[in-house]
Amino acid sequence: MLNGTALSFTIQSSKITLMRQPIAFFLLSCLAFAQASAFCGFYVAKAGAQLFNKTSQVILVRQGDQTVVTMQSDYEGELKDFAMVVPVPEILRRDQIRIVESDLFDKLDHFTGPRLVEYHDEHPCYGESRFDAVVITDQSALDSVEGGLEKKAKYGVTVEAIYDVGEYTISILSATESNGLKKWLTQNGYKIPSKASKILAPYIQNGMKFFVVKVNLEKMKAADSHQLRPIQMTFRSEKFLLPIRLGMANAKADQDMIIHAFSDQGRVEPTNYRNVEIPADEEIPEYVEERFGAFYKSVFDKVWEEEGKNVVFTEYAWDLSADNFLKCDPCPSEPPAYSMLREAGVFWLLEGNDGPGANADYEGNVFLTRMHVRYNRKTFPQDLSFQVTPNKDQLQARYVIRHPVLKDDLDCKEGKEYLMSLNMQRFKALGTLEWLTGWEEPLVEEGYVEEVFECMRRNMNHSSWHEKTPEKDQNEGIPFWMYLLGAIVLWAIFQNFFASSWRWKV
Amino acid sequence: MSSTTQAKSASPFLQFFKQDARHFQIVYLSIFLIYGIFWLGWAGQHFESVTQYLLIIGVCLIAQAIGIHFTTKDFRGLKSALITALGLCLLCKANSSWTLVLAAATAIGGKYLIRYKGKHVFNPANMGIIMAIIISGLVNFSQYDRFVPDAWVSPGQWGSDVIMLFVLGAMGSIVLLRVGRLDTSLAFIGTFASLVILRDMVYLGETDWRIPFHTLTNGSLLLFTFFMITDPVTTPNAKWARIAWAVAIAVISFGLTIDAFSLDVRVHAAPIYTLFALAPITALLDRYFKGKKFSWYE
Repeated sequence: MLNGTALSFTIQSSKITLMRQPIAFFLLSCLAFAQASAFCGFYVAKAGAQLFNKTSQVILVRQGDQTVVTMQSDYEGELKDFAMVVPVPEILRRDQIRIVESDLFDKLDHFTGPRLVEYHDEHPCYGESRFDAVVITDQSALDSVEGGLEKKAKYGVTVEAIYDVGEYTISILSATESNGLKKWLTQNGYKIPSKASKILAPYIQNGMKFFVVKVNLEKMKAADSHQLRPIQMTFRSEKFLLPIRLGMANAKADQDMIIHAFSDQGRVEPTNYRNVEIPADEEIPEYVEERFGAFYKSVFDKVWEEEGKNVVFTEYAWDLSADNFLKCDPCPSEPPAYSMLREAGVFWLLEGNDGPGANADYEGNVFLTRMHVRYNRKTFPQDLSFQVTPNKDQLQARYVIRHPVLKDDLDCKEGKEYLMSLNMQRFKALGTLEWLTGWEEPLVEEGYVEEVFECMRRNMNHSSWHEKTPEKDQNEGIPFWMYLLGAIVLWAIFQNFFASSWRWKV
Repeated sequence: MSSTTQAKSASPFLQFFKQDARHFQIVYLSIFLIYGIFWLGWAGQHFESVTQYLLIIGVCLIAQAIGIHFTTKDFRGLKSALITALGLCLLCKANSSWTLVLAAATAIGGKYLIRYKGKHVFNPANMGIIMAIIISGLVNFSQYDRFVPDAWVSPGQWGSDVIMLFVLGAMGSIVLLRVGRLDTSLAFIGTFASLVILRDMVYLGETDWRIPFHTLTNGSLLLFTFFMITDPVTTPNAKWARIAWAVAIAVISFGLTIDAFSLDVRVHAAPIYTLFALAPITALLDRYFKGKKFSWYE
């Protein structure tokens, strides 16, 4: 059974994690931005990476030919059996490999994930509004610890380097022949998927090296740590690739991968697979709030099915450059700070302004793209290849709910109109829900439509409801004949001055 | 008078349509664009960027109308501009609308300004893409301190479906049979495909045929093969010269994508650069290999 980072194969079977649906209630930090607050709404829930089974996360940072890749393993077996193999373009030096804090991915996932936003309607007659708030729930855990790597050089395999990095022992191998590499790995205690040597061969032929990771059990014991932290590597390569084929060697099931990609120009997009934006910015019924996780999962499943299952989805794209005022809208969490971006590998940023009035505590351009791929061997025959584009179009998987005012004191003309439009809006939201999720019976909550009618009935006796709407003011706007006159004058001018020199010869 | 024309053909429109191969080309390219916008979601969720397509088409038509006004006064040439515009819509993307205006203007402008023996040298859409990339890259140089163009080719908008090979291929062939340039397409894609297959299956030792196939069924590559490299005006007149020229483009494009040269050129974009670089050779080939000069009206 395969598991682990998408770039690699990790060994040992793992239990399939039960789907977790972390729903976080959050007070919106973007209220702080005076300009933005009008459009913000309240951030209420998220549907992050933990929603999907077997999800790995990767951070890609790219400027020029320099690439920083950070991988998080979702490995859940015995630590002594943990191992992963990643093809890399060169023999990495010790200073090209780092361990980063494990909450980095959670923070990023939280910031870029699909979000639900709520709006509170104002009272149509008095314009009062109310705010609800604030609980946080989120949890993630990783299992722990044991293993070791034997240093050897046979079967055409050369151990180019061995490094102890944090809780890992990392070997850089070069190989001349795939069966040799397979034998070497098997002898050193790695359980290699039977199809792996076929997949390894092209990488060897291309002169790629292999980045082989095992857990250093003694170190983990000494540090009394139980976490496998993400590994980050930096290298120069003209190719901007994410090798996913090894991870699919034995897996039949679909795997999900979230890619957070940073560039200093604009969006990162795949070049050898189709790129589709996830449908977003739609208004959905209020009650979806309680099952937002399940909702987003259905949205993704449906669009993935419809687009042919061989598509890379963009779920988020935002300009986080220091000079971009609006870092998110709304913000599910604080926008990434300098320290976090540096931790993620965004190497070109400079520490800067943190004073009042500053938009960020860094200087420079950053554009963050979040892509979501669900792949298997059949639909994704090639490794993922990307390019950095100047495309700065922003996108977020944002869904909106509205909290209506259903009171008995809607004693005004606007109150009547409000309930009418609310009724329409609820029908529309139901339609949207069905379209987005494909839920056959779009889980209509008891009385969702009826409660508006009910409220109308209760308000029927208000005198203002039965007032006749006044006649439209006849003096409003420019009368029709003025337009006509204007057109005639323009035509006359054109005829007199320009028409003689403006003749099409067809 | 009316009775004679009616007797001659049941549908005068059909007859008019069949007169000029460019009519087919316009219809097919429009179908691809509409398919892209509505089915592949190119214009985003809410069709925001449809205006960009209209902008490209508008600028191309206006530029061509100006060009025609000062030269031939034959306004049938607007059809060519429409084809160029549709080609740009399908291949070229840019962040700023100004870059698109630049692409459209240079595409048509190049046609009138860079000529040799009564033929324009560069393929207009190709010229537009390359000039947009080069000029915007130079303009951005001060901001980034390196070459960062504002325009790009987005193969990710097409995907790689085998069905695309058939549809683009079949539709392209109809046009090319009428124009007599199917040889160029076949020589190019044949050479390119052989090289990709040789590399993947023989050199790299892949065992899965879908790997080279995935590369070869990319929409951008096929569009180039059947609708760009085949422009009869900018290809050599003599048949064998034309085939040799197409083979050369395929070999050089493939060479650009080889790892050994470590250039960051993608399979889809390499032919576009190569076509631009080899365009002046057309004039040379025409000089030594005589062939009939192409005209749309025959």
